[in-house]
Amino acid sequence: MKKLIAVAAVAVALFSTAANAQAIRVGTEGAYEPWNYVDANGNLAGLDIDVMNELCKRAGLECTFVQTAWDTIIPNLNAGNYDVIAAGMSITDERKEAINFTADYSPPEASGFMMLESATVDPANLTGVKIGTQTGTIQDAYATANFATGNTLLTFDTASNALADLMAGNIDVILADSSYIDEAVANSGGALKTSDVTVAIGGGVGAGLRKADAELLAKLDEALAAAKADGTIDALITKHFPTRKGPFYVN
Amino acid sequence: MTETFEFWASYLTNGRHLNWYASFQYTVIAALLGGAFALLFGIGGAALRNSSLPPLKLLGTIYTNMVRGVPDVLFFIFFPLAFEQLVELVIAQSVCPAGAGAGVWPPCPEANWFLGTGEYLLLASVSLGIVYGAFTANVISGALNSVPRGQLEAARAFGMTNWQVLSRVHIRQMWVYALPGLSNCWLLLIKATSLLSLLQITDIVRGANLLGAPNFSRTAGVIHGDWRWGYYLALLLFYILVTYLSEKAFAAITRWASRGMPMAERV
Repeated sequence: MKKLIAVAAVAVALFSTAANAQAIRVGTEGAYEPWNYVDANGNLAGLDIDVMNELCKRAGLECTFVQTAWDTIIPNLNAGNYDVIAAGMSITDERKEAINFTADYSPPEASGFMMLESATVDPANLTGVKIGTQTGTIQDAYATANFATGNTLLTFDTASNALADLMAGNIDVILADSSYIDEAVANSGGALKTSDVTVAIGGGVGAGLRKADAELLAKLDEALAAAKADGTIDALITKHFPTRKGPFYVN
Repeated sequence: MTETFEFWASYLTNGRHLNWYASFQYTVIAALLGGAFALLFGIGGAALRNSSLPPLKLLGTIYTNMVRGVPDVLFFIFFPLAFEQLVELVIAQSVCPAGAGAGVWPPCPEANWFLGTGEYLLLASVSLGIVYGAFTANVISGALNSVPRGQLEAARAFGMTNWQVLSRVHIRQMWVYALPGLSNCWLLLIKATSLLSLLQITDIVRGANLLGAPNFSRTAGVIHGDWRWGYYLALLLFYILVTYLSEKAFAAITRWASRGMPMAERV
């Protein structure tokens, strides 16, 4: 009898704590510095992880992060392997057909071109060059739509693999997010350069959710609006992107 | 090598590398578990192939002949995904019958069966078992036929039942003939474990790719160019080590199986 009461008490305690904090899984790539990557301690870190931790804290949710591959990130969300995507994913109309997005937690930024220091590629007139992008990104779609004729397009499953091929000379230019390119060029010790030519693709970075999860979307949007208003999001962006000039959301 | 001792020592403390070292266990587990399943399916397939009932014989023949021809990469991707979708379909029939009938995939998020690394590892082992079980079945079938008939007749003359002849004499004497072929299958299986990254397991090959790719972000770690050749070299040495240890193990097993065998010149 005593054992039964003890078991029942434990069960009640477990159920009540579970009811207090809804547990959600957040899917991220873990291979796109500084948005999401694995740090020196083997843990996921980056702007996406920090923003989601902040939003979950404000919304009273318990977030755990799941590392998954980029090219199947949306199908896996719809299949239910995780509940939110936070992987530096830009908001586009095509993606909105498959999933819903929260408001953006990083303002829209341009995409730039990166090439070797010795390259003589003119990004304004690309002919006969090999262009590298990451599979399934907005830059991939843009390149396919605009640069396909007269150039060779190559896609890679991670951004670092594209960079490896650029440095090996297999491709001539990479089209990627400007913040990623600026960081890479700054740390390359003069081996890489970018140009002033930029293209505007995408509408800011937001978190992706399934279309059916309207309640969770409302909770996250509410928390995000509050975090933007008091400057927390601005501080996080500046922490991970020291070269980007704010203010972003605080007026 | 101009890097300091601290740099090389940090390979033992860096969290990302420790994760990579830990992921070697996935390869070892997949190989051992896959090998066990392959042996199981192999003995089953050989038994089917040698059975006297025509339908079972047909099943065994199809298994050993056709599955060997399918590239294991396809089986690797097909079996876990097909199995997962089958299970989710069955779950959806009871949880959300409306979604299951609508013909759209996925039927509903409640029917999702979340597969973590452990589940994928188990499914991978079963896939490896199915593919290499076909090879093993062939080897065991040949080995069973190589045991001298006189041994089996002598056993029957002693009054042993069919089952006793099989277990005490036939299978016990088969091992010496089967082991060279089985060691072949085992080494093929070890090579196939490099495909685990297809099942979203962050295994040694994927880890080597991620760690070695050029990094130009100070926050993510050391800034370096393309070091993948170094990591792939480490994987090469790992597989060579595993092969060497497997050879030693098979030599020991062959010595054990040769005890008391009539023509035991094998060592």
